[in-house]
Amino acid sequence: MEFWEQITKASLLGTARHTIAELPLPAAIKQSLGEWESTDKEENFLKIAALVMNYANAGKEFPQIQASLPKPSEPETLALCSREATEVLRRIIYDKQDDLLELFLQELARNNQRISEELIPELLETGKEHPELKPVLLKVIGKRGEWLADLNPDWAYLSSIFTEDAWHTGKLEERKEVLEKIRRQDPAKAREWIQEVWKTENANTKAALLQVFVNNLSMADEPMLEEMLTDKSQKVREVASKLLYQLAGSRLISRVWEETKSWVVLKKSGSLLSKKTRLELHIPKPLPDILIHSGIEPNRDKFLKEFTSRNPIQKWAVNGCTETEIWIYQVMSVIPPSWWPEQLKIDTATFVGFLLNNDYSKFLPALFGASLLHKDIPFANVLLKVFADISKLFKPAKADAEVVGLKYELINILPDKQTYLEDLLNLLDNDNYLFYSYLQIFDYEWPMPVAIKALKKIAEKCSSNQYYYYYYDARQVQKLSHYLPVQVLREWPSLEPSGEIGKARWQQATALLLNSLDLKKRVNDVFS
Amino acid sequence: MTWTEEQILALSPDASSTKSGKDLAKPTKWVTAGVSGRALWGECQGSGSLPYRTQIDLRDTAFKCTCPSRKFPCKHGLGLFLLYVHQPVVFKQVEEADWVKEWIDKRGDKLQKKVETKTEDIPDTKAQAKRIEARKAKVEAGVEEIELWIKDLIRNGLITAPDKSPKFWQTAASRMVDAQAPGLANMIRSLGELNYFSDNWQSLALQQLTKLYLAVQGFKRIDTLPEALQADIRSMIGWTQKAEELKTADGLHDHWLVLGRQTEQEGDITVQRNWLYGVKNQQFALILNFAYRTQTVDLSLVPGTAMEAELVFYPGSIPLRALLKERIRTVEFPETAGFADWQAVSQVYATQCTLSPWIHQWPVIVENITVFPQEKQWLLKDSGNRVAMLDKKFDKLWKLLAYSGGHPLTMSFVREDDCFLPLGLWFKQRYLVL
Repeated sequence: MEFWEQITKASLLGTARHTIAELPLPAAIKQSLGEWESTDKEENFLKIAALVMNYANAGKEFPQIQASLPKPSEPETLALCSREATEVLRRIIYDKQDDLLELFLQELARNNQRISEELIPELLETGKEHPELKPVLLKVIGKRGEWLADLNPDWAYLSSIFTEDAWHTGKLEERKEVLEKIRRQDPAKAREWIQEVWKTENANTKAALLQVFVNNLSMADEPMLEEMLTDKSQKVREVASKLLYQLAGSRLISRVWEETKSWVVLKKSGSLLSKKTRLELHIPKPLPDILIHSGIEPNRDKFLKEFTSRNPIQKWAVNGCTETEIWIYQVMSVIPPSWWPEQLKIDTATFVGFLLNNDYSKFLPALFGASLLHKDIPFANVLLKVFADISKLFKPAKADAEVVGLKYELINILPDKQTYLEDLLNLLDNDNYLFYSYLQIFDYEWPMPVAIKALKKIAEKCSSNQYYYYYYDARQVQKLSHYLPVQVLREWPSLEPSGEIGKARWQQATALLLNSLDLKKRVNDVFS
Repeated sequence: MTWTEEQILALSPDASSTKSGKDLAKPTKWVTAGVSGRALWGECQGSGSLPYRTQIDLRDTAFKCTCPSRKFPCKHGLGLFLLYVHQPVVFKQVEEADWVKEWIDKRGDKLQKKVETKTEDIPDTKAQAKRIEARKAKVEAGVEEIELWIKDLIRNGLITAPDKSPKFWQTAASRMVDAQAPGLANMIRSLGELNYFSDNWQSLALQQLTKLYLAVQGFKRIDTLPEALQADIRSMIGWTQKAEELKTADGLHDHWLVLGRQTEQEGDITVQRNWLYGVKNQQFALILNFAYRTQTVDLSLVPGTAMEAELVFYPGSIPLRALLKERIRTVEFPETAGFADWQAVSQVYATQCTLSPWIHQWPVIVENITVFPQEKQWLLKDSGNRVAMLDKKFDKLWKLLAYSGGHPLTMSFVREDDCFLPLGLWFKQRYLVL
């Protein structure tokens, strides 16, 4: 090779600037020079170049290395899935059927099987966009998949080495991601991690990292968060108090409750025969320091300026509050709502009834928020029972969709939400987009009668004069595949509308759903 | 023949077509879908008011689509074919639609006409000889001119080559086209298209120039050279040999494995390289297909399949380029032995260098190859710890690694300069195209 390198260097200068005699040449070529050398310098150079090129090429050897290679993947411990299962998985990946992908992988994991080697790269790539798949991915990619993920930085999200490294050296977003991962797996370890670095981090980083603790939040976090309430940074204090307000047993909530429980009182009036009871607010002025230190904003204008909620119902409610009402609104948003009727020694329905019957209805959005914050199921049940009345009260907020949203957010915290599934189906009649927005609340396989009812409603709509294409967007309808049992396929012919127009709309609206259900059936068949 | 998804994807002209084709492999994308014994067709709703009509001739794998894409096959063709493999039930066994029947019949007629024309052609040998003489004279003049051009470059030094304008190379190439030496024109063009930002452009430029010079010198004394070398030089100059003439020669009968395919766009021409290996004769072959603009390129050789066939090789000192003379039947893809290590590859390459200085691409099968990374470069290690470089153009690295798991595999490659581009590998007794 060195001869060729010398010739190459000489070629850069050109024959006008050097002579062949200066070139180091292999002995065999040097000896033959005399036989063909001419007076043409360029010709001589090109001939030598040709000879040396072939000489170098013919003698080229592949270098030998002594470096140790990365360890190959370990022998697999899981059985390989069937060829048929591989084909189904391939279709799921190509069709981007994310719901089915999770189902398929879970089935595979349940059967202690691993995916075929050929699909590992595509699956690891898909996993990048779907963090929720990570746990199940680790169960099905086999030793080969783990080995491959360690080699590609893009797939390091699966690697445990990455976790520690990224926590110590990563950017803020990476550190948050890692901390969240640990927090989900081992909440105490996440606490240890943040406490170790707490003194060396700046306020913004502290606040950002602390937000991760919303996952798996428990009373075990309370001492640490309580301590953070004394942090120099207001931003950090705000995050810590927000977290503590989610813990009904926290000292912060106790302090606020002790100070405010007497603000709401029952006032009895009238004679013995016509006795009347009503709610009254007795709010002391100025706002006690202890509440200010607990994050309650005393200034109405400042509160309204900083009120970040985009929910028009909440905006409507706070705008209707006076300064002292703003204080109780804030308190009601964080205190477990059942505590109020307990304190007043009345039942929850009566307490909510008082709010419906006088101008305290503006506090209802705060109580909705507190019910969700503390997952106060009895209170949520009462609110849902009188929801029709509540929605009338919220009319001035001009936010019908958000009102429906509030209802389904409450339903979502109930342990037994099935009773509201039929209620959801009614949204298909008029508020189609809301129906598809709250589907995931009923995240289980629906009973056949309900499934058929839902499909019939769609079929009816396809035949009706009030048909709007965007309501029956095939991509929206496709979402149903996650909830419908595959047995609906047997009933499919009977669901089709009779008219030509209705039939065409139905086929268009359900084409993707049908494809997904067919694939879902194949997943079931493969693992049955 | 039973098609697999891998085989269909091997027909794809590029990665974006593969992706789009996969997206279209869903029943909902197709308004109609039908199949007959000889064809597959469907109508796909695109952005236009009318659906695109896509059809596939299953007899010799040809595609046609009404979409405006210049890629071949287009995403609709790939999508339709993939859908057929995934869900054959979607395709109704019906009578061919008129637009399908018309195209399929026309293709049959064309093939028939071709055969008839061939038999009717009686060459005018006198006129032919005259034409050959006239061309030879033109090439001789062109060769003289280009020799001076090369010498000028060498006299002034290649250091200025990166600063030359595209016109500089194009003018010289055009002169060679005028001189009816298109092969030399291509060599000049590739000199102009060299990556002058790469670390070793100096060596590559000198090699290319030297090869050009050798072709020129070879042509000047062609009559004194052995017959095989004469054929090499004629090929380098750009003399083509009629396929019909060549097919009259004896072919090499074997079980031919279609190891892989490369498709490239060179201006308006789609160049398709099919790499084959004859198991019995241990002979590699390259079957080239070309298509101009929207012409359909031959897709009858499917990577990952094997056939009993007879191939005729173009004459040359190292026969590689070949024509399919007769396809007898499809056979199972057999387990195949390759070179034991890189040392064995070196030895064969050294012999080839003594026969021809113009070796550009060469296929190999090598056993026990382990892929591993070293300083941002992926290397291919053999059983004796010798390493070769994986071609940086290779875009299926992760798929390859998923199969290998860091363990040695038997693999097929195309060697280009000092890099190796994987074509496929043997995994669990199956040959898989990459």
